[in-house]
Amino acid sequence: MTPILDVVDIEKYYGNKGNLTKAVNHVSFQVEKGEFIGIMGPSGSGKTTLLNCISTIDSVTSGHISINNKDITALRKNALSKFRREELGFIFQDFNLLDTLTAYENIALALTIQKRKPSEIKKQVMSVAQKLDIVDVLQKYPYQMSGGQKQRVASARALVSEPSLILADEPTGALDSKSSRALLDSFERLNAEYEATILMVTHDAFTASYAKRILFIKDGRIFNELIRGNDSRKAFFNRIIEVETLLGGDSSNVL
Amino acid sequence: MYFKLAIQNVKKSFKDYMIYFLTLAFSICLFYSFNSFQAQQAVMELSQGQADIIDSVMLIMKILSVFVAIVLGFLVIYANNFLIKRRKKELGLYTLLGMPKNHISRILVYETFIVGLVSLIVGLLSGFFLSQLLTVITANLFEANLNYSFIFSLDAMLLTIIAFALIFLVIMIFNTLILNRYKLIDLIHAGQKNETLKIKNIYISILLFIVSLLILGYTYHYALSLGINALVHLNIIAPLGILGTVLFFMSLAGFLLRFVQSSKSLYYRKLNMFVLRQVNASINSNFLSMSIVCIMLLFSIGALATGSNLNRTINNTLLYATPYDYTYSAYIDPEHPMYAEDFTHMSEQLKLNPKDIKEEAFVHEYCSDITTKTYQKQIEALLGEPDSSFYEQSIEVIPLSEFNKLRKQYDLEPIRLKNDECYFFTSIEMLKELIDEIIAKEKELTLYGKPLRISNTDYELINLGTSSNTGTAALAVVVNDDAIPKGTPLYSVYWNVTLADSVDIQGFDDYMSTKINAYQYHQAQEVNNQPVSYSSVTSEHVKENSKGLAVIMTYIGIYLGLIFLMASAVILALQQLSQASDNKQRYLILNKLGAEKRMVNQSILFQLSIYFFMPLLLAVVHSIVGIQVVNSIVVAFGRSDLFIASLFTGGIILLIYGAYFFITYIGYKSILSKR
Repeated sequence: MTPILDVVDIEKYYGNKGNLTKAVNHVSFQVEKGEFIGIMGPSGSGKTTLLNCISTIDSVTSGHISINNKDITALRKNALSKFRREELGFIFQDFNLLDTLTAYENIALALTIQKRKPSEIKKQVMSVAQKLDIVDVLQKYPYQMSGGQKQRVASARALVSEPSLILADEPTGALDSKSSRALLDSFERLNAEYEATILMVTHDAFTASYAKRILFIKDGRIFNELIRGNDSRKAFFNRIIEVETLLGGDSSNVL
Repeated sequence: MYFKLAIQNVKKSFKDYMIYFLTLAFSICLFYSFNSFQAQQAVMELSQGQADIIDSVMLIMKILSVFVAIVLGFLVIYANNFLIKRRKKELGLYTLLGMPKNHISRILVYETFIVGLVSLIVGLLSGFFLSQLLTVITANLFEANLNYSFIFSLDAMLLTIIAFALIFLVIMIFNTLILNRYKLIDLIHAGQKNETLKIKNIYISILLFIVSLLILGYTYHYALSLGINALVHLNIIAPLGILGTVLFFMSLAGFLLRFVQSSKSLYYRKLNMFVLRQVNASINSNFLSMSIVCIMLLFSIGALATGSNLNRTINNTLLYATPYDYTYSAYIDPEHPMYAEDFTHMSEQLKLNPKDIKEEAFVHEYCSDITTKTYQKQIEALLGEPDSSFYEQSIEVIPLSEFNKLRKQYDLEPIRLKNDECYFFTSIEMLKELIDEIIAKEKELTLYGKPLRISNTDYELINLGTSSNTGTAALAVVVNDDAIPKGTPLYSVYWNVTLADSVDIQGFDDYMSTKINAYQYHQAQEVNNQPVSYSSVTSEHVKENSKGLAVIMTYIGIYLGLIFLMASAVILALQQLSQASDNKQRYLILNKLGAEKRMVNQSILFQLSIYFFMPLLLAVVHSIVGIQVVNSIVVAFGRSDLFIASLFTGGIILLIYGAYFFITYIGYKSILSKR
């Protein structure tokens, strides 16, 4: 099976000669269709930069990223926009819903940008709203919704155009634990029932425990990889904590 | 130390200050040039008539300047607000670092002072140059000779400095007040905080929209039905119009939203939904300025159109004021009566070359045995109580043959009168109502003891000769030549001359003015020891004077029109640019969702179009009605041609407004693309 996402030896440098920051340093990995992968790492580890590169928002210094067999590092700006709206779905920590639009319109926007037909739009919005259980809030504005509802609307927006890859950047970062759980449950369901491929960046072990595979990043490099396999979530969570302890291992030097 | 900080701030946020600075410098430049108009005449060779007109116009200019200063003041305050808004975060940092508020406001005061000083210098300097250019243009319009030297008006400069010093003072107070109102948390989070959304009920918007249309419709109807009297009832029309306009913009976004929503294929097309929601959401902070811009545009269009129209109208009127190349007219003192024979041989007595004169024609106005007191009833009903001497004025009597000759000069058909008929008319516009009333009510009059029937129901306002006054005959009656008894003394006499093509009118006038005094003296000796009071005028003089008036009125109209046009464009531009930074977050989301650059640009264009062209559209509708009304006044000056005026106005608006629109669009895009 060809991977949905193929990251080959990418580097991302910031700054100039005198003060070079290697935010991403020789990273390679693959994501298969229907996978739910988590990327973990402490702040400053380069995980957000990595996500930005994959999501075509930022460009790599060297290396290649292929999504659905298309090398996005070779695409031009306008082609990137087209690629982004057709192949990728985004979920952000701060939801990034347009506060002037209702939930329905926010979800529909992803489709109108693709110039879909209005009749088609309605059908697709309703179907994705049912999947995420947000039919009641469709006519509400973001300021009338709870954080969990907002994030589910944002997820619906990411899903509605049926992208090959869903990118989630700290999706639970702004949610309380109950909402987080509800959101992650729906991620799990989407992944299991609809074979949605999800790449999620987080620094929260609980959130990460919902993924099937986790990449740990530190100082721009892949540090470790965990595969859930047949573990229960609880067991997987414990394994994550172990790695995290290892990751923060530098603290032994402190003491 | 604070002064240093202020200088650094201005340098650092130069880009932000640029718009503010340009607005200021531009206002100052215009204000100075506008007022230096007074100094311009020093370098121009103007005739006495033109100089007199300028004197009276200067007064108007002074009053207008106050008005303009207020408008510019608001504009500058607005631009200042834009700046403060963009720097909230920086101000927050000062507070966070523990700087007391009064120290921060001291920095702001210094900054305002620096920017004010620099823009004052730049504005005045450019104003000096603009006023030179304007002088040349004015001289050109006047067809006056220009003894060019650098003009400088100390008055205008002082006035400008005082006006803008006041404006800056207001701004300093304003900034301090604003600063005291802000909370630290708001300042720090200024960048992230979206304006609080109050989604209004769309159905209320639709209701308001309909109400606003009804109010506007009623106002239009009322103004049009009043016609020329609309100006008197401005105290009703203006508030109604303003109310209608404000309601219109208050509800416009909601209405547009609902309207487009009703078509799913339009609403869910590309970013239409986003733009309409966006406009609807920010309408609360925009509707007032849109209304103000609309009303300012109305002023602008009105001033431009009327200004350009008046020029043409007065040019048309000139044809009616100048039937002959040269007219000598004498008003005869009843105490020292003179007769037609006394003037018959004028050209020989003045030793004029007969070859120079192509045609000469007399119009004699004879005294009659009735005075204006005959029509006391009508006069008092229509004109109010006049001076007592007014009633001693004789009704003027003109012989038919001379009158028809005059009409021929105007290309009018001759009139016919039976022996018992007369023809009543006036050449003074202001008396038309009175004469109409007399003609309608009085069927007869008794002249020289003989009853005469008034035969006409209508008449043309024609002058008895070339004249710079608005009319030459007040209450005049035309009768058959033989109805005037021999030996009737003259009321006045008009000696009208058409010169041969080879003769220079100005030269002829110069010759006449040297000769006529001697002639006058000689005649006075011979007839009754009393000099005749006379006036003489050439068609060129009249044209020059009227042209002067027309040019100045046009000048004021266009000048004010431009100020309002630019002011409204600047307001909209600043407002949109300041909102651009607020909207950055939203456009970033669109970008992340994969909206193409072209699509985003289209949506910006669409959004800006609503803000720029909706006020323009309503202003055009307003002004169509307004110009109809104003035109009925302009028509009093003569025939007018609205088409050319509209074309001219439209062109200027398209140019300036369009340019601002374009600049705003470019600026908007650049703010969004900035990281």
